Amino acid sequence: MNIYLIGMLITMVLFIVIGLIVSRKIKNAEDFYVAGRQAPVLLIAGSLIASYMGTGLFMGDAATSYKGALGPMTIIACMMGAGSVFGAVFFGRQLRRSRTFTIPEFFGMRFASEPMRMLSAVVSIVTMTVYLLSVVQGLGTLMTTVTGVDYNICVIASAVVFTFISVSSGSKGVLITDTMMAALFTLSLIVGIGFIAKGTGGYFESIRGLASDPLTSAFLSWTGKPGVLGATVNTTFDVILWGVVYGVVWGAVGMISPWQASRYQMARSEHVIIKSSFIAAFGLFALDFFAMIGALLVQRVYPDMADPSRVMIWASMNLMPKIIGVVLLTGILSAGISSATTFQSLIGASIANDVMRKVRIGHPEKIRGKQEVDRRNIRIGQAAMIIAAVIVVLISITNPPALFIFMFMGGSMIAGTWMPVAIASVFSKRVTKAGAFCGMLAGFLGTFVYKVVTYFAGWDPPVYLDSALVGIACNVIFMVIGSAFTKVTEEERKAREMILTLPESERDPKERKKTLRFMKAGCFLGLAVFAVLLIFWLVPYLQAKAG
Amino acid sequence: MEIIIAAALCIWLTFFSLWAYFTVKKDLSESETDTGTKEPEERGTR
Repeated sequence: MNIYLIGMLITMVLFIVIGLIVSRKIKNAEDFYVAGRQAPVLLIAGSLIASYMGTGLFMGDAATSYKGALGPMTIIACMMGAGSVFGAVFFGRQLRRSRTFTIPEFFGMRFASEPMRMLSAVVSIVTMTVYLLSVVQGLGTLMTTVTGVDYNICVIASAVVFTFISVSSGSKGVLITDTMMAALFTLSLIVGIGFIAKGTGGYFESIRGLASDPLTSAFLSWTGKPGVLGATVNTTFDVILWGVVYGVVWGAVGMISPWQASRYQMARSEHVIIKSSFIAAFGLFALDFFAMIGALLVQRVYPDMADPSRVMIWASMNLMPKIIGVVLLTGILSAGISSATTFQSLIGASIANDVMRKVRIGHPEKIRGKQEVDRRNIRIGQAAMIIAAVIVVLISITNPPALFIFMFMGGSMIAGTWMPVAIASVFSKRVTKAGAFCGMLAGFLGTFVYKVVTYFAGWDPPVYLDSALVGIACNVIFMVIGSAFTKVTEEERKAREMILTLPESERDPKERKKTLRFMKAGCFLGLAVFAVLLIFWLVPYLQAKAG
Repeated sequence: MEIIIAAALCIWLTFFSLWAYFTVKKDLSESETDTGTKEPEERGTR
């Protein structure tokens, strides 16, 4: 048994034990689905980071950067951070005020519409499943590469672990294990990058070396290596547009995606939401950037890797002392498992609270009270999580890994389907339930169907016809048309007024002072990111190019 | 070009941070003087 397999087994057993311990504290549906709405900054920020950082980032983003697209990928990382902050203030706080369990429930309440709730639940479940699939494929690839165990067994083993955590401990357990996993992969990445830099001849020397080598100089430029982003992304303008389009997509993910915004439903207060979002914005940028630049450094010692999605795995096994390699690989494993637990628990929450709501509330004569309702609600959610895991495992085993396409499909679907409606739900007085429904449906069809058709037809559309943009355009057009022919009802008006009203509990002067002070410091977020880019990339790169 | 794009990203992030800051500041300042708003009702569906 190799040391990597031992490390991974220990990590998985540890998280299972934590899940078991937390499961004893689950008393009702609110504990199970929204962690009792009592989570502090540490857990919300930790979960925001852990949910976002999955195998897609350590394998997909790292591979794209290794192939020569660090510049456009960095645009995405920065724009995503802005989405987190914007989403917390303009959607997360309102979401928490609604006291709902799921985001589809929020849409249903805001637009006083059951069909709206069902539609957004379907979108959420499809997106979560697609995303869960990409993570499971990543976990399978990671584990089989490192341990040599059969891919199918690895997929099943990882599914058993994250399903156990999600099913036994619900959101409470997911928040705690997410935060621990975030700490593990953050620490392991910091140490790991140090060893990658050492193994490639020193950090700044490697950057200068890549910049001055004619074969790799373009890898560090904003435009990246020509053609690396596909046949339709050729000119400088195309590359910048590609970065901005996907920056909007991932900004939307940070803003309103179920696996990010749902964390705000678990927060103890709005002050927690705001603080967590700034921490997550910087943390996500920094982790993404350093994971990508670490992968790029590997070009110095292993330039033509056949499968670039394994670049961080190779670096862990070949450029680091064994124990550090084990820690980094278990960190990447943790990133995958933490994302999987979030997606899976959201699938369960949406099926139990939105899709199967009638079943849960039905047969009132047989229900003895709130406890019984809660118990049935949790059971339905747990069953849904297990079924989702089985479906995803079956697809993962029968399909070849295609991490990048699945990951970007999930993000595009959220941007095209949810973003315009989510923004309108807070900002617009005039959008009606019919408009919101038409917009979301058109956005879903525009993104999902278009993406599937173009993918399987083998057509690579130009950047300005990306599925996310097509979905957003369809969504806005149909939302405007639907709203033009209908009127806002009194119920919708009251719902909007409710989510825009600051609760009494948020008005503590001390908390207010602390939050505003924190946000003042947060206004330097842009400068902090600029400083990181200058010090760790642009200055050594431009110096080498000039000299 | 590289510096210009990095600066643009810095401005982008700063713009959203400032927007968030002034929005929250306004919300919380209004709450200090506003006594007419109420705690959202707990919805009794569960």
